[in-house]
Amino acid sequence: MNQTNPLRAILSVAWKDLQVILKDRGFLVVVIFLPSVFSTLFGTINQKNIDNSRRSITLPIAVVNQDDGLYGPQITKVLGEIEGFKVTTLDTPAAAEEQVRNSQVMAAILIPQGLSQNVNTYQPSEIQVLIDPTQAAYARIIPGILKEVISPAVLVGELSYGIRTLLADYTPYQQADSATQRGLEAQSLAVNMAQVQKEQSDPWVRVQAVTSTGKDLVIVPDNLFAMVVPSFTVMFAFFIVGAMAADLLKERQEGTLRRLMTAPMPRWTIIAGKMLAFVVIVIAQVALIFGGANLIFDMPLGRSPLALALLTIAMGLAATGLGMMVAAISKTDRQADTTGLLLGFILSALGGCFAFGVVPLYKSGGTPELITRFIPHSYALRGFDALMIEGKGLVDVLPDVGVLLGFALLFLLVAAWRFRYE
Amino acid sequence: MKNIWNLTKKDLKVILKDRAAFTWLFILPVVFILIYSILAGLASGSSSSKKETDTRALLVVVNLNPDGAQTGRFLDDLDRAGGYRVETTSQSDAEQRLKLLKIQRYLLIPANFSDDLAQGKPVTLQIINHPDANVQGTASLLQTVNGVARDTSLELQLLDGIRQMGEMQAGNPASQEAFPVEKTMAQAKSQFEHSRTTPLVAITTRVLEQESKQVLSTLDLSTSIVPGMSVLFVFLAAATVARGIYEERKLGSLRRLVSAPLKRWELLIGKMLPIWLLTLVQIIVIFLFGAMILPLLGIGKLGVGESPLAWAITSMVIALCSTSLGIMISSLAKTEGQINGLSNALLWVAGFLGGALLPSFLIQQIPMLNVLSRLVPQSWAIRAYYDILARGTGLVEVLPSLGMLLLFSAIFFFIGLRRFKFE
Repeated sequence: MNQTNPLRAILSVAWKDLQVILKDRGFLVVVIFLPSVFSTLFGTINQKNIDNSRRSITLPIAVVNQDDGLYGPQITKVLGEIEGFKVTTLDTPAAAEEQVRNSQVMAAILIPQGLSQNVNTYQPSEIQVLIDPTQAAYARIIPGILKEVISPAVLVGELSYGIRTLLADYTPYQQADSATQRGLEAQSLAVNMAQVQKEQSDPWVRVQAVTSTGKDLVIVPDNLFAMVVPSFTVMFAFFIVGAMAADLLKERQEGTLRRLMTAPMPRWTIIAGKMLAFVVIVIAQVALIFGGANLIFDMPLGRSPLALALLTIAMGLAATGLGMMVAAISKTDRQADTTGLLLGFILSALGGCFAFGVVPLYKSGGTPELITRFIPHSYALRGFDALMIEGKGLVDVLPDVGVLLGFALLFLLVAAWRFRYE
Repeated sequence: MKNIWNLTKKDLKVILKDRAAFTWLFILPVVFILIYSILAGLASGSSSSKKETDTRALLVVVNLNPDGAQTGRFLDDLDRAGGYRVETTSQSDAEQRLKLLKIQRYLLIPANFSDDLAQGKPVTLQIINHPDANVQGTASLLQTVNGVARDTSLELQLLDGIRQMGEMQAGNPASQEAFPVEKTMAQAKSQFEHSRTTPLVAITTRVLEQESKQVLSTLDLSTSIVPGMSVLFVFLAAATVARGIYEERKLGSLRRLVSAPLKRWELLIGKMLPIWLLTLVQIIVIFLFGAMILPLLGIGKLGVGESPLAWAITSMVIALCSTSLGIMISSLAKTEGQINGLSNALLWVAGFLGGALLPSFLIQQIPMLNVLSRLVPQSWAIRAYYDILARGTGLVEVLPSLGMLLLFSAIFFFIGLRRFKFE
């Protein structure tokens, strides 16, 4: 018998299937509409959330200075200079408490009367911080910050008391004339200033803020869509599994598969044609969604279109391979549909398509990351991540492409073993 | 009445045989809740099981000098300073958490901290930040740690200051011997000890007492995920209703029913009742699952709030709204594709907008979505459940939400009745 050229056979089967698929609006909605909408919604909300957490917030606080000495005004001034504080000065503690109660300010700092006097005569005093309970989480850091602000005053009070005490215990000092005593007081003041300055510039306990330089830190992408869009695209790309398997089984149930098999072409070309049709759908899906996200949300596409294309094709093959396998192990089209649906959700969850926060599962280390290694989705996600977020090139994603193709092959082998042509 | 019940019995039998419907109704929700809870638990660092009454920010400290005399005191001071809850851990754990951005920064206390301070040598503490850490947060922590460090090193500051004073007195007969080393040290020590019990300037914090009932600020997974998921899947059941009716129409059995001596509304209600009952069962299954399985995973326990009656009535109203929606979809959709794809898709999107997948406070940040979310019944359903389960309110407080749901039900049913093709 004269057999048709296999390539032509594949193409004509694929063309026929594509026409059938394109008529199924429900399917197109799932593959293209849902990931687009979800990407847009999740991306917008998460981006907003990240921007909020990165943004500096201003903490409105009230300060009531009742001290008429040196330190009260100084403390008020320093508080006003702290970036992130918006300081309102009020006259009475009652007015401050009122503002805290109404959540107009997060906290009120009450500097007591006679603070300077007390510090200079080594008498304890108390600065009270009133905190708004509804904003306690933020406001609670204010006492800690205040501690640093008052530390120069504390040092001066302590140090001059120490010097005073020791001098008072020293007979020649007590017998010295008042001019000498005043001279010593002036020196004590100079020492105080020197120590305060030393504490600012060269403290005993220096606290240094450094940025970690660990090389495998998970970095939040500047454009969060580069993370969210591939997640949903991969997730819904694998939703073709149920549709494809159901489609194949329907053909078998309705007898059209048999008819196709009697046509003068090798059996495998029917399968290859079907797979081609679905791979084309996946490619179209990725192209449409990524292209749209690039246009609308400036989502980066990386620097290697070739790598992006290869990865997409490999993902399409893995998904269609899985579809074939589901078809081979299911008995009815309904069953295949349901299996595909459940697999679609479970595998995308385990593979890392749902990201809570900014660290996807496939980067999260430990057992969860290990689990993702067994799921084809994660290799597609990892590849898109490398290309679009980290800006890597073709060579870097070849392993991911390879693993996806390996999955495709594995699924197809199982399918070939179990599928009944009839 | 009897007619309606007969229809109901028949439909229940049919649906229970349908595996796909069974999957949608019971298996998917449970699987989804399980996956979602586990993932969210992983992301939030699994601290969700214990109720956090401590509103202070977590400060992870790596103490390389655990036996140091000064370090314990320093960390206690830091914990007491106000804003931060100190948690010590190993450096590898801190690095791992920093790497995954579970924490934005950690404080590193060097191994020589106590020894160097005891010998009067300066030491350096490091706050190690993730590159994405909030700059302002780092600055606040820096100030707080600095403040505590000043207290810790007060003795050294005094010693140094008095020594300097002594050096200046060389040749001054009135004071050259006033600052001998031992006396200076004793003085500095005594002042330092005194400052620990009676600081020269104490900072006291008073959190104003709360007047109104506090809204739960911590997000308990079971009370946020389970209601959202139940609502999502309860409304997805609407598509199942629509598909069932569509198939009856396709097979012609609907026509036979129409020719039976039944009023139209009887027929519609007869179609709705079994689904409504099934949806109630679905809700019960989901909540049972939430109550029994989630605690095993350490994800918090799900109850039915403080008013079981409020929970039961809310569940019934939600089920009614979903069932009416199903009737409307079946009367508007023309093909099976429309029912399967379009209605499922719209239900997922509506569920999302209503707050089933992300907490609604995140959605409400964006004004447009905030408006849209109010236009879907899911948001009212989730709000009602959330009020009952998380805030422990009674029936009266959720009446506005229930009213909105009933309004939605009435609109859906009315459109369904008008447009339903009895054929």
